[in-house]
Amino acid sequence: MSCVIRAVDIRKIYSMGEVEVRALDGVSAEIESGELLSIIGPSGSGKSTLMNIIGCLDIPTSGHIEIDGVRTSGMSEKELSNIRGKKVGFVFQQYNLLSYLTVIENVALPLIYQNVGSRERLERAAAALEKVGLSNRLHHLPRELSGGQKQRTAIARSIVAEPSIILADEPTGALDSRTGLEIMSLFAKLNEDGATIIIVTHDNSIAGMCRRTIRIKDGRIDE
Amino acid sequence: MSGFYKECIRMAIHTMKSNKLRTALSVLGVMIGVAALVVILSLGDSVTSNMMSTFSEGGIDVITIMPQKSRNSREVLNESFTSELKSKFQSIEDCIVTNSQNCSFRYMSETLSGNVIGTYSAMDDFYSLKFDSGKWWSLEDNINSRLVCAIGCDVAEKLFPGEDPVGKQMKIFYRNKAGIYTITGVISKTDSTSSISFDGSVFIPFNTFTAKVRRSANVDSYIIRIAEGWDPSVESGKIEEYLSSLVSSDGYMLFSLSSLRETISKGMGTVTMFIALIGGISLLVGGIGIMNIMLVSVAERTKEIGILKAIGAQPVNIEIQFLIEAVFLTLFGGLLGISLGIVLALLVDYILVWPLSVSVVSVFAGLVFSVLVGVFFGVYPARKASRLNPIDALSRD
Repeated sequence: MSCVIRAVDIRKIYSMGEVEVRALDGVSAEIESGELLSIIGPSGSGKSTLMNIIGCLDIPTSGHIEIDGVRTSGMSEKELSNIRGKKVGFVFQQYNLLSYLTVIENVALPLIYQNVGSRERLERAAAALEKVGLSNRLHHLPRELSGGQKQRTAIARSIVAEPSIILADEPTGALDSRTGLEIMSLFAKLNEDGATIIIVTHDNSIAGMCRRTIRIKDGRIDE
Repeated sequence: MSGFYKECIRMAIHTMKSNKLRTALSVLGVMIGVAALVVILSLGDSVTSNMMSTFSEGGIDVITIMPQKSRNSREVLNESFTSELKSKFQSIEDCIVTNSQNCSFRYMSETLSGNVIGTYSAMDDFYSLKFDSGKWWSLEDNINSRLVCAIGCDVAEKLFPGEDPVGKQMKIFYRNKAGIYTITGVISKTDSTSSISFDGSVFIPFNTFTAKVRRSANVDSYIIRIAEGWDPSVESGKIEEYLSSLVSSDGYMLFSLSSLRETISKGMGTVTMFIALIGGISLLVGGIGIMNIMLVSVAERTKEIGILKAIGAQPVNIEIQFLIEAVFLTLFGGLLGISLGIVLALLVDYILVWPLSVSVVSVFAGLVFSVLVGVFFGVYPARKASRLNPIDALSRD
């Protein structure tokens, strides 16, 4: 299997006046294509920082990331946003849908920034929504959906551009346990279909549903 | 890229709709500024076209010189001065003298007082006078000093109510004498906007005037007509210069519609400048208001910007989106301003009883200015939005 993400000696240091906070303190990891991986750790352990760095939302103080063999260090904001749009799909705890766009418009939105024509955008968005089982809610607004349906919409949005990797930050954190399980089984199904998925969580039962788990503690990988 | 712009426009309209009161208040300044712009340009057009139509009817190419009592003016400014002027200035097509005297007129038992003007038959051409009935007396009438007259419409109305005065005789009293004059024509009413009116005057041949009314070599006024192809206001300047070399400055008065028009234009220019200043300040304040509201909008929608960045929006996409929002706001204000401006311009035109003209240029200029204000004052907030750090933006509630 090929390596999708290679993180080499990642450090992230926040200086707050006199005090230095080492959010990440030398993390190295390789993530293979087709993995369903969880990153687990208590809050403040640095797991979200790691996810943000992998997803090119944040830049490490030292060390570097390769996505599909391409080093992202030194890239401009424009190039980073290109990587985010094409290589990475984000799923957030609070869904982060745009309230004034319908389900299908929310899902199609990332394709706008890749100059995909409107017809193709809608076709691909509809296909993504079918994969997450929301074909019957295309023209609803987010406020008309349940929490689980909102998260399915967010997942559809994360896969619509067919990225190399899906990054989910506490995707079940805002859901009841039954709906959370449904979402996890959806991730498992997408993974079976070939998607590479990283789930960041503090919940051991969620981590237990993934094939591999990386434990983070105090900014380091806890072997 | 068209999908992106379409989406930007949708987002802009959504934002404007979801904050209706805020939108309305924030476009107020732009609206007033654009309205002022439309009013100035329309009124400017209206006044100009009005002056043109008034002056082009006759008289724009006419210069009048009125000798005044001073040390040497009577010696220089006599009847033969007309031929001197004509030989001096190629641009003068014709020059005649007129004398006038306040007299009273009587027909049957009606009496009226007014100006009797002694002049030449060419006077008719100078002001392109129209006639309600009859015509101007002839060249021969002047040569033979006949007792004939052409009367203004007011004189006709008052002395000959319900009658056609042409061919009738009326009595003109001057000093302690009187003469009986045959009426040859009635001159039509002068346009109410015109600066010269002959409605209450009676015209008689110059020689008749000199023989009967006033025996004197003094000239009351010279009427000069500038030939086509010469600028009357430039020529009036040259003639004035020549006059001042002959006569002291209090020895004459020079009057021309073209220089009057220039004076009015200058006055209008001042008014226009003043309204333009108000419009400009209003647009500036309006623009600052737009900038303020856009900064508030960026702050409120930081999370949304973070989401858009996470799903692949480039800084330039964010910048364009907010710029389009700013332009939409100002364009909305501009459209309201154009409507308000048109209503105001029509109102002013209506009150001043001028033929109205809302210029297409003013509407176009209003649109252009409102877009420019949007771009100019939208750039800073839009750039600020585009430079937000995605992590900070996403962590905002």
